Formats: sequence, C-alpha cells, structure tokens
Amino acid sequence: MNIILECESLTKKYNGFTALSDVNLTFERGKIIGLLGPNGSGKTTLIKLINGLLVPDNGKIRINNMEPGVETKKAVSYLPDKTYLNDWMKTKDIIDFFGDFYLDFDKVKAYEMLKRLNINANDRLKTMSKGTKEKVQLILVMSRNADLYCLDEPIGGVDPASREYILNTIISNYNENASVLLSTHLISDIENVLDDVIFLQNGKVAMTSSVEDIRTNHGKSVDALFREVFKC
Amino acid sequence: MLSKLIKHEFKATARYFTLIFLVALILTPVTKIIVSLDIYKGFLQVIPTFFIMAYVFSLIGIAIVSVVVIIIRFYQNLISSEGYLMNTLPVTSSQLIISKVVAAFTWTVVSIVFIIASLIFFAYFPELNNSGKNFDWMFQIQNDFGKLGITFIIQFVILATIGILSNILYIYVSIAIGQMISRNKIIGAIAAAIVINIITQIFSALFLIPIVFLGVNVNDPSIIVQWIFPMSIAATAIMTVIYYLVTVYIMKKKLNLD
Repeated sequence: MNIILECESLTKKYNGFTALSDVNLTFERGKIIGLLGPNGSGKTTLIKLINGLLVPDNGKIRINNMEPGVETKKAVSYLPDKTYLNDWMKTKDIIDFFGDFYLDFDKVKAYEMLKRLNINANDRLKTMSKGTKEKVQLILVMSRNADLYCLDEPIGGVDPASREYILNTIISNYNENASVLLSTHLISDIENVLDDVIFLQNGKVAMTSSVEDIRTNHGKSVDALFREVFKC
Repeated sequence: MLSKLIKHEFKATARYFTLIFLVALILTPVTKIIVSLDIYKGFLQVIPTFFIMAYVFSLIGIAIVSVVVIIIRFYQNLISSEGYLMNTLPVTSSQLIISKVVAAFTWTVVSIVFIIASLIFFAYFPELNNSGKNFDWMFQIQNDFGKLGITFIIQFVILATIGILSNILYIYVSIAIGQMISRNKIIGAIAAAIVINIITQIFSALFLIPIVFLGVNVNDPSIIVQWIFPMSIAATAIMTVIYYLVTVYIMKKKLNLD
C-alpha cells in the first residue's frame, strides 16, 4: 500500500497543556518529509506517538495500517535528539545489539559507514565526542531497512561538513518504499532534500505542502516561508 | 526476543558484581587463615581485626551492590535516555520488565548463596587448631520442629523466593509510578515507595488478624508452618502480582521519557 503513516484527529495533552490537537496527516511511501515548527509546537510529541513512546488521548495513529506496537516498531527506525546508547558499550557491541533485535539491520552497511567516518569498532562510546556518538547513532538508524525513518533533529549538534555527510547518508539510504520524517530547525540546510513539508504550530498543522509547490506558488524558499509563517 | 533481552541484561550488569565478588572470594580464605594463626601479640592484634572488618564489609558490599544495581539498572535503562532505545525495540513492555526481573532475581540469589557459603566456610571449616564444629545447627532446626522440619524448609524457600521477587517489583513499580507522577522522577519514586510501603504494612497486618480470632495456640511452633508462612506467601504473592501488573501498565501507557 502507498500510505505509510496516517494520523486521524490525533490529540495529546500533558497535565492540561495540549501538545497536539486534532492532527490529521497522511504520509506516502518514498517521500522525504520535513516536520517543521518552532519549539513547543508538538514535533517531538508527534514523533514519540509514532514510536509508541506516548499513547494518544484522542484520535488514531497508524503505521502500515497498524496501531503502534511491536509490529510497527519492527518497521520504524527512530533517531531521537539525544544520546540513547549505554556508554560502556563498544561500537561493535551496539552493532551486535541492533542485529539481535532488528531483523532488518544490515551489519555490513553499518561497518562500512563506520569505516568511512574513521570510527573504530572497538572504541567504547564513552571515549567518543558528542558529535561522534551522534554519528554512530545515525549510522545505526540508517543501517536498518525500515519502512519509516523518524529522525528528530539529526543535524542539530553537528559541524557543517558532517551535516552534509549525514544528509547524503539519508538520501542514499532512501529507497522508493521507505519514507523519511525529518524534524529540524535548520531548514535551509535540508530543504534541498525534502519532498514535502509540514508546518506545526501550537500543536496544530498550520500547513502541509510539497517543497515544489512552495517555491512555485509562494515564490520563496521553505526557510523564508517558515520565517514568515512563524514570525515572533 | 525475551531470551535476547535477558542475555543483554546479564551482560550489562555482570561487570558491577565482578569486582566485589572477587574481593570477597579472596578475603574469605585469607581472613580465615590470618585469624586462626595465633601469633598476634599486643599491637599486632590490629591485623586480624582489620581483616575481619574488611571481610565483613566485603559481604555487606555484595548485599548493597545487588540492591543498588537493581534500582539503577531499571531507572537508567528504561526511564532515562536509554529508554528511547529500549522502549522502541520490537518487544513488549512485559518482556522488558521480565528480563530485568530474571537478572535481578538471579543476582540476588547468587549474592545470598555466596554470602552464606562464605560465612559457613569461615565459621565451620576445620581451623588450624581444629575445633571440629560441624553442621549441628541444621539438625537442631529439625529437632525443634519435628516432622514440620521439611515443610518448614520448603515453605521458607518459597517465601524467600516470592519475597525477593516482591522486593524487586516493589522497586520497579515505585520507579514507574514516580516517573509518571512527578517531574523529578527520583523524588517521585521515593514518594511512591514510601506510600506503597505504608499500604503494604497495613495490608500485611490485616492478613494476620484471622489468627487472633481463630484462637490459635501461639505457643505451638506449628503455627509457623500452618498459618504464618502460608499467609505470608499468599499476601506477598498477591502484592507481587499487583506490582507487576501496575508496572507493565505504566510502562505501556504512561511512559514519560524526558
């Protein structure tokens, strides 16, 4: 089927604060989608809902036509915006770990990418800089043959050269059957890889559009439109 | 998947125990030898004293390490940043919790067996001046309780087992409730632990009331095997199941990772 993700009247509240309100979205396979919005607009909440880390208060969310659970976790590859690996592990330990739990994990690909970045498989994560750890995490996530990749701020804490490497990794791992959801602030860096964008504001979908339509109809870059729409 | 989780659990926690077990393992015979040599005059008495203290501390250390590891492992691996990895694995929350219970239970039992074996070795093996003590104490229990001896031991083992499981899940449910109710997850966990403790004290006391009303002879040692142990086992089992179900529910529906 063509639809990888569907949100229907999705609502999530925290202690009275509404993080997401009546969100309706549909993602098709084979697209790279940008999830854009100011801090607190609900991006991370949406991503956590996709990954089953949160449960909706109202509405439905479906991945491959299934509600979040063990089966969807097999199909979704998630990169959170923090270091989620145990420091005492060596790189090869964590690769074995991923290989153990994710049947779609490609160890060969992972080792190749590590080699290209000069990361030693015997190094303990503890000894790595924050940027290197983030690269390791990205390599792990992109070495899976998932249906949907959710990347929360993948290029945030990384130097410009690495950003380019990361974006190239994302594009070259992208196959027509998979979709990539990228949440970020650094719009001008990534807009050239995006097919579609979603603008979130105060927990609601302010706008969805293809990047092409924005450039044609609004005559400006996504970055410029963002600054307009979300002007403080 | 569960076996993989369990394997990973053991791999991740083993390193905390290796050092303290090694230290205790070495100190047991070393202290024993040093203490049984009768050559310390005057000030030199500090040597055997020091070794005994070190030995005792190493055993206490094992007990402390096992509790601390159980607490920290659950919190760190499931509730803090590692939670983003573990809770998005294609496994159920039950499997995550059970894998931790299995490892925690195993380490606790290994620690207890180690401590007891160490103490037995220390106290009862032939000393250099050969005082020849043996396992009289075990026969004494048999004598005190007559036929009930075997039942006593069996029930004791069951109660100990369910007690260990109950303590582990008590820790887990406190942490789970804590992260749900409070921004500061640690304070929340401590508060939950205190409240649960109070509730279970009341609950346990209620379980013992039937004994008063049934006019049981409190001087008959068989009361232990007929009433106290079975009631304790039942009460603890019920609490353990409740702790488990609540923990699973919270991890599934009320997870609040930062």
